[in-house]
Amino acid sequence: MILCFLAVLMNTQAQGIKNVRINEVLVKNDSNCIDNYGIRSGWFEVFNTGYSTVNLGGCFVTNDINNPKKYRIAKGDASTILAPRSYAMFYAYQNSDRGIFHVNFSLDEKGFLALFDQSGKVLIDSVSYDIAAQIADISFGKMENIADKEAQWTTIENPTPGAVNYTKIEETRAEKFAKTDPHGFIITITCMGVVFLLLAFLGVTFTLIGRRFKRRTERLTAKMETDAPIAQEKSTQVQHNQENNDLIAIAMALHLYFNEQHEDEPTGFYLNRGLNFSNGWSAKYQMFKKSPNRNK
Amino acid sequence: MDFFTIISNNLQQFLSFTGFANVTLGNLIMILFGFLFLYLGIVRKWEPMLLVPIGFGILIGNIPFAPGFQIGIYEDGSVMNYLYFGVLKGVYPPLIFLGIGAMTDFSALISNPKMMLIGAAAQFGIFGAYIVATLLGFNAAEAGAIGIIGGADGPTAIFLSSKLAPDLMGAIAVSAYSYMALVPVIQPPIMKLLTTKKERLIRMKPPRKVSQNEKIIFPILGLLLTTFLVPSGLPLLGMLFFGNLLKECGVTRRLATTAANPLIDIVTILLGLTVGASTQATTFLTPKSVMIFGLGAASFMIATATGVLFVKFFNLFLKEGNKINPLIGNAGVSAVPDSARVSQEVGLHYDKTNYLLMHAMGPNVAGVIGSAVAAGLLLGFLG
Repeated sequence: MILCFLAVLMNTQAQGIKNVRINEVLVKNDSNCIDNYGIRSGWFEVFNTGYSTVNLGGCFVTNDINNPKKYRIAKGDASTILAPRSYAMFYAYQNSDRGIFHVNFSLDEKGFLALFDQSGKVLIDSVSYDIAAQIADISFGKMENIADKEAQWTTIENPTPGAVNYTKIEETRAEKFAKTDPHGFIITITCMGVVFLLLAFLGVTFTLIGRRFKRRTERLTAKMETDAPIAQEKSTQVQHNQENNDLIAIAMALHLYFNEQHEDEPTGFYLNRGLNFSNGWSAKYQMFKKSPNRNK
Repeated sequence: MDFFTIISNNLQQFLSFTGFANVTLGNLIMILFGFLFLYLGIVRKWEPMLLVPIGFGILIGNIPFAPGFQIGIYEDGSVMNYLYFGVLKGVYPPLIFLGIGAMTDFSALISNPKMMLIGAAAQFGIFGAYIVATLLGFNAAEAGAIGIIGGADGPTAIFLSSKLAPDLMGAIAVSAYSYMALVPVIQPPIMKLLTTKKERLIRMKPPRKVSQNEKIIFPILGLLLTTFLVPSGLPLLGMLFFGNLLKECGVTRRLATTAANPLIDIVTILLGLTVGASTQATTFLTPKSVMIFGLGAASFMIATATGVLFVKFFNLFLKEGNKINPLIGNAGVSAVPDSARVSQEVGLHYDKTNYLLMHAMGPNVAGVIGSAVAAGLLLGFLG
């Protein structure tokens, strides 16, 4: 029973790997995606067309039909597990030291690419191409992501590494703009116009605000100048009264002191209160408390 | 296997991990570039706050290493990669703008709002470079990202290139900051070439005193007017005006101090270092980078020239006594306050008592707003 179970499991796994297809290939990479090391190189993408998880670990990829085991995808790494309907990207610049997804061959050597199963004997998928006909940054791929091996290979002007190969090329806004204005004269006139208009509008707004504030400041200054003599007179009077008040206060204090009618200031009250109302957080004595010492 | 063979194998393995085993000619060339930046920053004192972090970043980015240890800036999960995230996703530039806003005094502009137009005219450098870039074969998005170098504003250049042409961001950022440092070298010959001696001696009226209320109203109205028209400039303009409001409102002094000092310093360190480190030889030493450097220089020259020429044109409509000294036209680019300082120095060269600094600060801060608006427009059209 266990043997049957294992056989079924292995068969399922083998079935799963057959659902993997080489989906897109870019041979010449001038301005397309870079790898984790900042390097632009040829790349290819495999796609799990099935609805079960597939482990690529142990499978082989090669660019030489006579050497199917040229590059073995390492086993035992979670990154080789391909979820249903998902993609894996391989970079090809003859540097397999850079991780599982960096193969030890390049795509501009043979014009052939193949994926073999874990035994290295069963061909899963392959593609042949003319190296000389490859154009930089234009990939070729299967335009429909279906399991059918015969799905048509076609050139993809906007490569889609690690994503669905669109059959319909969507133009970016910049590309659309470039079509109507290839040398940028229209965008220059438009943008300079808007920048001028905006800053001119801002300038006019603040000219008006500035004038208003300037008039207000002038009005206030004029008013201050008009009120200046009255204000000065008032100020002198207040100063005079202030001096009188000071003298009266000093006289009263002296009178009370000499007749011993004054009260003693209860200095101790604040200290006592401070200690009485203190707690562990605020009491000063806490700060002077010695750290416990070990008894000798 | 004997003991010595194991030691020998280990040493061989160790040597294969060292930089000496992995070095390429490109790494060495870029390290020389790093030295040049450090020399310009430390010895010549040209924009040291920018050139020293970028120069050191170039050294960091070009130390050869054995791959797979999550060291390089382009390796997923490396520390440098995490720090670079702020550049890639345009996080750092708005934070820098917050600090710039908190540091900038817009009084010179508020007291003489017609200076706004000089700030607008100098933005032609951006679009002039855009036209030349498209003629050289760059696509529209790349040309927009390259053109913004002419705005003379490093954070804006990084912000826009991260959105329009992330692949070219390293070259664009290094080019923008290099030319900002070279403002005192690039601008004076153009200013002298395009002005007469009589024009250089024009004395301008001293700016009026600006009330505190005006200073508070400026960032609020400025934000509303600019971003309603160009919403794509919101990340930069929003932070710029917010920082300025913190400074001017008088009740958030601590926030303004933080934005204008520790925050902008921290972000500048991270930005400079990661931009420098992003110039790995493999991605940086390309013919495109050389073209970007050429276009960057051209855009700075065009911006300076159009600023000066616009003032001369504007003077045709101004009465005697109200005329503007065309030497402040160069300050329309947003390299604050370097280009205003250049106006002052060139002005003093011809008249020892003619101080142009405060007048030049007007178009200079207008240039900051203008370049952010231009970046917003390019993002809106091409993003």
